[in-house]
Amino acid sequence: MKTINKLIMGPIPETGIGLYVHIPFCVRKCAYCDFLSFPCDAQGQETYVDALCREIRQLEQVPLRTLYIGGGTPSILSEALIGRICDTIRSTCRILPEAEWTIECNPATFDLAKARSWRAMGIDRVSMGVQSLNDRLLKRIGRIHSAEEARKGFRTLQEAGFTNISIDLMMGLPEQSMEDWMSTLREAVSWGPSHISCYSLIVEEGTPLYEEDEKGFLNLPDEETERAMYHETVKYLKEHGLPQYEISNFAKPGMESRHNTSYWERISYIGLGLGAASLMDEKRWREPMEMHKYLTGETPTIEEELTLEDQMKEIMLLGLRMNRGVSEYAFQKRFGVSMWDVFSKELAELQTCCLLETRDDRVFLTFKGRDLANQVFMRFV
Amino acid sequence: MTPQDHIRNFSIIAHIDHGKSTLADRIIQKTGLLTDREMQDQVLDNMDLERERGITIKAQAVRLIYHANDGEEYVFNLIDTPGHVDFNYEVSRSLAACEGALLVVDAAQGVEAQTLANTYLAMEHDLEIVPVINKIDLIAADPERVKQEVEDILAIDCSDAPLISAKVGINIEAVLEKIVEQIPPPHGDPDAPLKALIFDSLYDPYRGVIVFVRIVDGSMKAGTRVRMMASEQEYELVEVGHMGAGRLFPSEDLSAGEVGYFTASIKEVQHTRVGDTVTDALNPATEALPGYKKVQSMVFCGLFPADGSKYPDLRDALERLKLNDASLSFEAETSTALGFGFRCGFLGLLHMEIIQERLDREFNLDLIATAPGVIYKVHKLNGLEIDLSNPADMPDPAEIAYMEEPIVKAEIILPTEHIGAIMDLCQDRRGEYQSIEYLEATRALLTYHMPLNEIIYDFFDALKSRSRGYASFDYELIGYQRSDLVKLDMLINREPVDALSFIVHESKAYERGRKIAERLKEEIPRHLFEVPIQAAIGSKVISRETVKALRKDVLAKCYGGDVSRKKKLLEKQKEGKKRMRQFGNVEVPQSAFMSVLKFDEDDK
Repeated sequence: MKTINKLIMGPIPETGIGLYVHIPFCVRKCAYCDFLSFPCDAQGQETYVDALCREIRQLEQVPLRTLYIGGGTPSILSEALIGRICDTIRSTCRILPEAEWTIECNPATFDLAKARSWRAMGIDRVSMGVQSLNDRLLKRIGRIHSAEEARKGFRTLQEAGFTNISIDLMMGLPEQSMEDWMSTLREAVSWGPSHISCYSLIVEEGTPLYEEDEKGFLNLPDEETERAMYHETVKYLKEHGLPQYEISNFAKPGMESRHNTSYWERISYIGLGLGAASLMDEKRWREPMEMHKYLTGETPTIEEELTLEDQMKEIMLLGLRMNRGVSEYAFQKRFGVSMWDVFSKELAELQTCCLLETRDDRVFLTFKGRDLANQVFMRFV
Repeated sequence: MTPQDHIRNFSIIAHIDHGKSTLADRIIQKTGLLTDREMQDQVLDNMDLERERGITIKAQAVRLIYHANDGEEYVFNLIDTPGHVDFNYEVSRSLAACEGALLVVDAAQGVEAQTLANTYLAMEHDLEIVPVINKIDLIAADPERVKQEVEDILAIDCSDAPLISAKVGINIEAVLEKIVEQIPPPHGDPDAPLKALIFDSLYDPYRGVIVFVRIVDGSMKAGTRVRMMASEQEYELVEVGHMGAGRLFPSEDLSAGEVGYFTASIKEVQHTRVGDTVTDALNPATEALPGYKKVQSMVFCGLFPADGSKYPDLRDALERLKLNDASLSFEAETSTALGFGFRCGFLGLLHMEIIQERLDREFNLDLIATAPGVIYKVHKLNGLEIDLSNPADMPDPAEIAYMEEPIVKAEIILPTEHIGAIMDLCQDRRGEYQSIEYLEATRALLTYHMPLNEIIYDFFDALKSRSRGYASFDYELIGYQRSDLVKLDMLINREPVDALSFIVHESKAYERGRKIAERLKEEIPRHLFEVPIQAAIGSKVISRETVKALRKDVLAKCYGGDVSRKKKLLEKQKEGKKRMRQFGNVEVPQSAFMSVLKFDEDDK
């Protein structure tokens, strides 16, 4: 039997934790995707949701401050299956007032009825993978939808009553010009989303794009262009009321993703579903990556047990991803020591090379630091 | 004690891969000293490294008993010689311990460069040379042609040279009979004062140095007080005996004409140098045996541990290797770029490579080697002359009257179709053409005088690639020659990196500097700032490259599911950074130091 509840040792804070539910299914894998995701028939989906619900039921009375149904493409699940998941969560866990509940979706995998059902189940935030509004580029990276279907998807979500909608976009795509990118960005902003994530393409090993890159066929924009896209994005979105709050994330003030922010603040979370990761009681564990192991209820693997030093490093490593950075006071309060004592050398050096900046109580990345963040993060592993 | 006329002392000489070790194995097998079970593939090659490279590094000897067709029992002392030009001196001392040599020639390949060099060496020692044509089982074998070749080139009568295959064991008896018939027995005076030639030694942690000797005159036994005439060290012998295959057999004494070993609790291999004469301290010989030379290193390079904390380990390892290898020299060296290390001297390139490999393999040391160099003679304006083996010690050019560099005579045997390409190569390496001799219709012997510093980089590789592997090569030092040499410095971020400096002929400086700057540009990772790389002679910059500043290094995504994985990626990146050498503000990977040593043919 599942042993998620056995892994949870300490008391769960009354302020609540995060819950991530992984749906590893999609219509077809995109050319850049290295997530745990694959096509699956209705029967397989049902078996999976059954296993997922068995796990959820172990989280009795667990207070949740954020919920996130991610994938893959959760929106390919039927209303009935999503309904079972949401109902099981609501009847088992204690969803705190003001909780944020997100579902990920992709254009052309849902209609108005499905979107309405999400609302009805308590989901209040949708994150839609648009990636580009250029059909040529969408095809190039193996997306299943067109730009027009993305437009329609956004309208459908609005029609269903969602006011907190996030859009994922990708820059630095093969053969993408500065103008390609900016026209996508401009149009997406014109729809009025409350949140935009803009990711620089990472060519991951084992993906079709990686193969192409190896053969030299990828024709990615050069580094100068790619950085110019990024810098232009930061500027444009700020001017249009979506200031940057993390390396790849932009939101209307107050509409930042609470769930994702909790990852960078190291708030505990439980991940359920194939390959999902958890952080609880300063342990990081992960569910089995293979379906048959997951379905037979194999115990998650503990990947890391974090010492006090590890925790301090992670606070920096993750916290510095956010524009507001890390609070000295919060650090001091949490660990009883000053970050300036623990990381004196690192912080001094990073300030010297203009990657870090300090203002008031906070240490954060500079503009240059966000381009070269790994040079900073490296100091905290 | 065996009467001298029943002793045969001989070596086997051959070009590399012509089957010397295999024939030695067969001889050992046929003389029946060992059971088949005891036979390793190649008994004489003790070290793993030798086996893999298929060459013999350290000379060893073995005593064998042979019952000849004449019904008599003979003692054979087979003295193995290193097959490479780097060990020429060791070869010559081994040959000096013999009366004859088996000359093994591959029935397909015929005479090669080392066949020639080794035969000349044996002739210098007045050895009786017994030609043996090996590998007659090969499809490509043409023994008649090869016999003719040996007669034409070396003027050695091959009319009844045994045609054998050591590998499959054809006709080995004929070789054994030839040894008895043709090689003269030794003729020392057993009653004269002791004179023994040291031809090799081996360090044993329990017994100290085991010294291999040929007794020329007189005799020695346990208790004899001996003196090494050149090193002037005296010891009392603890044990004397004969060498079996891989084992020692103690005996009562060793007498004129015999080959054997002694031990005397000797801790320093330098006390028993190859070529030295051992005599009786109480009844010394008046004159030492001829031919002793103190071994001079020809090629030098700096060796630095990749991990600075391994410096003591490197020192220990070098000391251990030196116990067995008197020709290895080293002294402490400090580099601003690479930290503490050693300036090491080697007999030649192969010797250098072998030592580096043994340090890596036997001592598990990760090393950075600097570009190999030679000894230059610097004549200063004030009349002083210095031997320069480390570019760092080069005096200010304003103080230098002129410089000289070592020149070698290079002999290359090659198929005639490649003559043009190889002459181009030699010319390109500042070679001075001497002669060309046609050995037969399709092969020729090409002789050049070349600066040693032109062949220590990649001459072997270039030679092989331009002749499709068919050229063989040998060289010997013939002297020094005045030359326009300059010290080329590499500057990274405007700071000279001492470990990358080297001395080069003026005409090559620009090209070499440009090439190295390009290489460094590829190897040095991008920094937060622009890093200029310059090649300079004195204050004159002759080439410049720039490593552009890093513009982007960021993981776009990091959410709950991949914190562990992203941390691993960062750790890997950090690990890579750690392995780099901090040089001022610039991090230089170890591979950068190595990359400048390798010049591909197509770079030219």
